[in-house]
Amino acid sequence: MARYAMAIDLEACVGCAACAVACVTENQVPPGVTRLWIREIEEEGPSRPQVEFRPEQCYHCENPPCVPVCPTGATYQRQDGLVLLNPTKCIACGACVVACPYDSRFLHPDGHVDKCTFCAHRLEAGRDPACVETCPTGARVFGDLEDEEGRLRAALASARRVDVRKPHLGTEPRLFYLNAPRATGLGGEE
Amino acid sequence: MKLKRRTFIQLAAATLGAFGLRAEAKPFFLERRRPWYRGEVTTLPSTCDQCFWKCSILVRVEGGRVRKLEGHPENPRTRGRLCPRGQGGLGQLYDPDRLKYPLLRTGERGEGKFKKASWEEALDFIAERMLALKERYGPETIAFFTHGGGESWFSEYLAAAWGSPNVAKPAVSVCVAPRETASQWTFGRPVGGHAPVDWTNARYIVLIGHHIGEDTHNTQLQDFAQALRRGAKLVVVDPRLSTAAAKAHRWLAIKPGTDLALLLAWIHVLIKEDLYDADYVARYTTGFEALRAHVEPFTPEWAAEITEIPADTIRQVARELGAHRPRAVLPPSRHTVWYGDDTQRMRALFILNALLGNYGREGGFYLAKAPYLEKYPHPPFPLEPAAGGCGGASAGKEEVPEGFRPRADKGKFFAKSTAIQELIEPMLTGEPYPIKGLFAYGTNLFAAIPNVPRTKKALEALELFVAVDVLPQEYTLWADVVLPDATYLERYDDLIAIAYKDPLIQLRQPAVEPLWEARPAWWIARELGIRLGLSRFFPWKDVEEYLEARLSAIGQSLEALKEKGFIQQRGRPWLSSWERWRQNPFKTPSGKIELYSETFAEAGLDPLPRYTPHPEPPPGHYRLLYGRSPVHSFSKTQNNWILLEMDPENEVWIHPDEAERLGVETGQYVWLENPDGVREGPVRVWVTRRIRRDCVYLVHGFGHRAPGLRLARGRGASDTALQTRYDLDPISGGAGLRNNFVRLVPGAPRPQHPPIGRLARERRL
Amino acid sequence: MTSFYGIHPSAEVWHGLTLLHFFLVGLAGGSAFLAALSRLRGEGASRNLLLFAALFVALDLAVLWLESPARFRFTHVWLFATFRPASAISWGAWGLLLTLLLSLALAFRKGPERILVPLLFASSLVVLAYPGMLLSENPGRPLWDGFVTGLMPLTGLALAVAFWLVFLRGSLPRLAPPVFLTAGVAALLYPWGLLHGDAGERAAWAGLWQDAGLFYLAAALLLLLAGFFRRRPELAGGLALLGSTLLRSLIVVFGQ
Repeated sequence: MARYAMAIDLEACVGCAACAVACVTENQVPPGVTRLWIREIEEEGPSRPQVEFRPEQCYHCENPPCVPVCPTGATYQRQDGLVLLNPTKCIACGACVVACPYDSRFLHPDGHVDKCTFCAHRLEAGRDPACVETCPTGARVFGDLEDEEGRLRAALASARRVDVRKPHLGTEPRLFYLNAPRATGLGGEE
Repeated sequence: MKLKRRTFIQLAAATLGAFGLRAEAKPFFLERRRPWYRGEVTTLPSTCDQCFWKCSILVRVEGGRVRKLEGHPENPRTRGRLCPRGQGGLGQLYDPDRLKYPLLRTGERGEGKFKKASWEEALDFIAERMLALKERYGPETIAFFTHGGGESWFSEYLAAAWGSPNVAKPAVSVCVAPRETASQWTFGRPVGGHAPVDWTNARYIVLIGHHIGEDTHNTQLQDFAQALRRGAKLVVVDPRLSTAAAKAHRWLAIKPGTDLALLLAWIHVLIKEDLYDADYVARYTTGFEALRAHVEPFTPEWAAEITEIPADTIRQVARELGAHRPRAVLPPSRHTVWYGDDTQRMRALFILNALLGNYGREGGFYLAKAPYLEKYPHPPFPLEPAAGGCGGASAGKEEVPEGFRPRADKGKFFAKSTAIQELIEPMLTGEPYPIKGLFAYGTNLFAAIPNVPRTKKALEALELFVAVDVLPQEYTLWADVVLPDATYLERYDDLIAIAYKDPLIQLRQPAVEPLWEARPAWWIARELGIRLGLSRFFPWKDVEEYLEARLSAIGQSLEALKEKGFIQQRGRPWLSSWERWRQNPFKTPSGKIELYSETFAEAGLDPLPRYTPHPEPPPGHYRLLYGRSPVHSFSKTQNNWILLEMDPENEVWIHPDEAERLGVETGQYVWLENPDGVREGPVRVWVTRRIRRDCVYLVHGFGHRAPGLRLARGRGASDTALQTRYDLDPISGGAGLRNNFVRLVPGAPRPQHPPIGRLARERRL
Repeated sequence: MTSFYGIHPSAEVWHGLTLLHFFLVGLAGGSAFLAALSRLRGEGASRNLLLFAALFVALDLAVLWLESPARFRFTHVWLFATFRPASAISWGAWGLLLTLLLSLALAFRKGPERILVPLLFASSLVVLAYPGMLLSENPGRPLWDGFVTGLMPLTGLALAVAFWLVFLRGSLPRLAPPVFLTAGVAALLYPWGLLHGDAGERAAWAGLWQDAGLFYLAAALLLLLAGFFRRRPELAGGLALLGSTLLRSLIVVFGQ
């Protein structure tokens, strides 16, 4: 069984938001909400300010806190690691929105919760998620964690450092940030 | 957490009035719409027009609507990737604020009162007025200002057939003119629309005021990222820690306006320490001895005083440049109209590149070649299309045919290209002859030409002003006739010729029918041409016939191109390949790279670049720097909701020390005011150490005032409005914009915008 | 800056009507609990309480439906087609439903009291407890630590007792002061716990303190004060009602 995951090279990312725009059109995300956004973090560096452009979205955690809290089973985790949501079962109670430590979920104006799906429908067709495909800097890599020869493992292996957000929560995100500009890892409140 | 927490008071109030049901919810049986990708999707190739980069795209159409845009995976310049603007193109196509019908003005200019007209009426009106003006003043009294993918039908076709030399593009004199002129008179070759830099093979890259990353020109950004991944060293010279500077190994926070001094010092060190490529210089260049003597006094110590960059750093970067040559490169930025001596600065940049021996070599500049293409066999135009294009020949003696007059800006500067801002004056003064009519295609005059008050006065003096655009931009409110243009997803354009390593011909073809009564540019030009008695120049009945004729002339077919999207030809990117054919790529008078320009000397211009100081900000003022947002193209995309959401307003960047002095904080709103009394804003303050103390920074393109742009209006401040002055570059005709100064006036109100949800329904994808 | 309006895109989902729910659910659970308790102890005379418990549950369910963006999609049926023990809301849905049915059955004397009363006792406990569970199971919301699991039922009970005192002229003077006092003390212990927690918890408390510290203190003091007004049950009830509501709302709002 595949174990899908993504990596974003923060050294390459320029925060252009091509990924976020591609996501909007691919998934017909309505105005006012978004599945994917860029956080620009500016911190003092040794000789000059350090800037981290960090795309954020659902991390498809190995231990997703959003899944157990769902009272109807609308939110579920697939065998291949994708954390998905069935809108017809969703009562929009917001429990999963609050449970997500990364604020990756939101209320869709159609009356259900919504979030990144790693473009599950594109994976079916053997294509990369829309954000990965379009990324002009090639900062995004998508693949199978189990595939030791795959490009994802290669990207992880060649990275100077690999971080996930809020590791202390034990959620084991399946989106890895590579080469954070700060020597100690991700910037901001991490 | 802090951001999303409301104060308790607000919350209590919300609780009290909480029973308003949201109207968005739908009955459950209607709610789950089938996603587009589950429907029947057809794909056709085309070419993007969200900016000038002309990426090859795949358009996915389902249910009669464009659903998704993707980079063409086989096109060597696109490689399956697209920038945010390209991805968001359907936000413009389905923008409910678009111009929908031809409009005839009923109120005062600028008032925005129009009546709906038929195309017949509108075109007859224009033709009648144009012919009457021609009768009184001659054809040159009509100026053509153009920008965007459909412009060639007007600037290169209709205007030339009509016989007006006054064709101008902001993309020249408010953008690339200095670098094109400098390249022409140094290398004898244009830089061209797509800077021919071999990023991926470069090992050492120095960017001067080059905002890659904030400009997202697809191929270039891909190559830049690839270069860094391959371990290239990056030095960024900028008063601001731009996105590129954030990625750089070295950031040189130069004092604005002193770049030429830095370049001269680098040339000095390269020569003084024998770091330049002596073989290359001997073989391909001329004027080296004069250059050596000229830069003798320009030591790093001299430059350090001026630029505020330590002499040691200057020396060190020069040595590193030398050590990495010929794979060390200083790519030219596009927008080079800074201080009025810009051609000289760009000359210095090119000379420095030549000393590194990188021109025509891997890791430096490749020699871009335009594709082989034949013109449509129409009868010869009375005038050659005016040299308005980015890559157009930029100087030389101009022949004016019998019975025609030279351009109205002639004599003001050396280059042959047209300067859009210099065509405003004749509208007001009638000198050297009156310009009484203006035809503007996709050119947002108030965001593209400095000194907006003067432009407005000039527009008021016109006898005919026609605006063709997709959106009701502010300048269209001044027009007598407003014509709704089709977007790039609804129209054919002329064949797109792209100079590249291996040059390309690309097709732009409609994916859907034009919405409302919008019509493509080719149709408008042709219909107007026929009404102007120019039918003989329009022997083709529609654009497909025109394209087919041009393609069959080179042994290709429209049918095949519609399938494939592009044609690639073989180029000759390196000096070695030119030498194999015993040909000389340098089309300069001497046939060599001209470090010293004899032509400039003869024209009374500095044959070698010389640094001159520029005005300092008056007390209490900051130099106004400006740049780009990765999600916006000029002032064209702010009303596109998909792009707007990612960057909904511009912010004025200011250094913390200055912010403290002024008592302003991040998030507060201020006015920006220039010494001429122009006030812009309210604009949000962003306090950051990423900028020097003597300047402030704004992203260009915001500050829309047009009421028809319901999303974009009232967001941020317009840098162009604050640029009431400009310094004319006497060589290129470029309008130097960075000698404009502003002060911050605190106390501006926070602008109120309609919540996006209210505008959401008509904008659902 | 390309950061989606420069703000966090996931705006808080619980506000307005949700706060009303957190008020009603406490009241409902507490009332049912009091009614069941009094029946268990053989003190009759709790029919009003049962009816009110049923009313509050019904109101709460109505509010939950009304505030749900999915209200017209009727997906709420899924709640009662499944039971998911890991989900507090699943417990809550069943707890509320059972409490409604049991209190109505008891009020109208349908069915065997010997079985129904312990069942009501159990289901009321579920209703009292699940909001705290719901809050504390979120790893990314440090304000909602384990302490909230106790604080929510306590304040819920306090709400019911206070309501009883004010509106039903109830005779529960013995129970009221300790409930109010415990709730008040717990309200004061809660920040103490947070301040001795990890950085996230300290920051979460600091956020609440900065924006609404006075309101929080007032809420705790009101509860404590209510514990001392033995002679004036209505005043005590009023103070406790206000204190509990404020406390619960603050915790829900600032925790998100």
